[in-house]
Amino acid sequence: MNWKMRNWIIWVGFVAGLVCIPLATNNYYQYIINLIFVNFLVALGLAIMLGYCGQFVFASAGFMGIGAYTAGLCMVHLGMPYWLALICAVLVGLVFAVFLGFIGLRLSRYYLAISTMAFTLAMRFFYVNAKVVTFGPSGFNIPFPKLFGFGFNTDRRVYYIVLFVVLILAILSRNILRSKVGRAFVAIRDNEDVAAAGSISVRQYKMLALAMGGVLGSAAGALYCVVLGRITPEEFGMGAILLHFLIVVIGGLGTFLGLIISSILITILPEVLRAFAELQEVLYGGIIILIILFGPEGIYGLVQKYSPVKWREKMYGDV
Amino acid sequence: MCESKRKGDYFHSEGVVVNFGGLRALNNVSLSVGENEIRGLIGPNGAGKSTFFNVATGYVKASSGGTFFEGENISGLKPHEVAKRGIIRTFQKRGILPGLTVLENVLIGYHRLLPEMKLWHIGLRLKRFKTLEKKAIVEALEVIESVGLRDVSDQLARDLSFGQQTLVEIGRALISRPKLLLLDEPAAGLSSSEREHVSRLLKRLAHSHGVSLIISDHVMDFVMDVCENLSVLNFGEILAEGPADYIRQHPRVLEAYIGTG
Repeated sequence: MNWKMRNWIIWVGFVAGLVCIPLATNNYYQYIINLIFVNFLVALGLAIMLGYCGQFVFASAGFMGIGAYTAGLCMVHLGMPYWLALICAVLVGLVFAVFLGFIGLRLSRYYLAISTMAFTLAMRFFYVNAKVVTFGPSGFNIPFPKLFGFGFNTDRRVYYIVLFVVLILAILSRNILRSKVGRAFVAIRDNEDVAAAGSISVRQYKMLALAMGGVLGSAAGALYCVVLGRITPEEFGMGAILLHFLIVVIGGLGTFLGLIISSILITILPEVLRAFAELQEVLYGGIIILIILFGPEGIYGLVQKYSPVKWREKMYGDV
Repeated sequence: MCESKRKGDYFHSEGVVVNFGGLRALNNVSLSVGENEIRGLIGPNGAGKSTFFNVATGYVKASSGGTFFEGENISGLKPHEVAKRGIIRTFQKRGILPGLTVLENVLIGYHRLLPEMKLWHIGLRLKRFKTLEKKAIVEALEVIESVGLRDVSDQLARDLSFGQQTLVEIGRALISRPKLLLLDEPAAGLSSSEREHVSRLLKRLAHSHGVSLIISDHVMDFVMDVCENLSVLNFGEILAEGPADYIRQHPRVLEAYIGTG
């Protein structure tokens, strides 16, 4: 099969390129690249809930905080190795997502938006005030992850953890989206009644979308804490929600490639504009307004409109 | 009251009453469809045809009365549970999924036949996934061909004409191997050649695939051509039932449609 060979070569080249990135970076650039990966992962979770499944769930920062705090605290308080803390973080994130689903999915879309946002803010409130466990508003330092005695104590080394986790979760998500599950998500987004007429259990699939968002968000959080080396509750509030929302909207709701491009853009932007740090949120807001006005389908839509090559993500598997 | 309860009825409703606020949308509607029967459901606008479809498929709960399929009471089931049992419907306002292509729209209908495709098969791209997905795609393309949409199978459903969207929806219904098919105004927006094509398709479905159909439509030529028996709804009540020729001359039906002079 010719296209199969070609796909494999592209994939191997792509992954090899990613593996080689640290050869060409210094610590600062590497840190930014690590952030791009983390932002991509959490935005992917949001994109699944919001872009694919059409559910107004603003809990990405909440899930991310749960992941970061669970992983960090498991390491600090319980002395867990990082890989175990990561798994714990994902499981706790999943539990919270399901819990949120049980409550939130009974509500209509606006109330779902408000209740998930409230969840995010409540979690932040908890980190600030449960000082005995979470060390309060000033946060805490995360120890370097170690694996078989090898310390991941530089940004370049941490990158390989990030790369490994993000690649696995992204491939799994992509596989899941390009199947009956992705089709069911989009069907629910487009018309719940029609989805149900296709024997799709709307509630069950919404729950699945939320669970995927919870897993990806909390995994991203667990990575985030080692990328940063120190976390504070401030990282997981409204500003973070806005950032994730921006990545998804700029990428074009629910497309993979658009998401990658916009994760890069949105992560680099504040670094480039460091001199105007106070204006960051104004800038974000401005960008969102511009996109809503001029390109509601984001980068994906622009490519569709102007590129000679039409690229659209298929919602079925390569078989 | 329950005169429609006969042995061997494939699908039947008994004394279905639906109230919307103070309005009685359906009043004591009893209707039965046998195996491989094509039943027409006609009546003026607002007579309750779509409401009946909504009750039969679980979208609207009846205030009283019940619906039965293959000898089981299906009244309390949710829409997707009804669909799982093989009662598949289409929608009057074209139930297409605008953001999906024709092929993907049709594949939505195949969802019913993929219960053994589990999440881990999908996530890890196991052989099970590939076999099932391939079968689904092949069948979907066949169905698309059979409804005459081969040339647009990769287009987004929102870019199609109303008639083509109707065909997409019929395709989605066909692929799910329905036992009972409820079509809400399938002929609306179709050209006469498309109409002929669809009517042939539906007859073949009933006669060689053993599917029962309930067709609600305003296009009388189409209904009279396809359906063996008709039920006439007016103001939420069954006005008359019988073979097409009988209904055509029924004085009360004429009165309901044309009005008394």
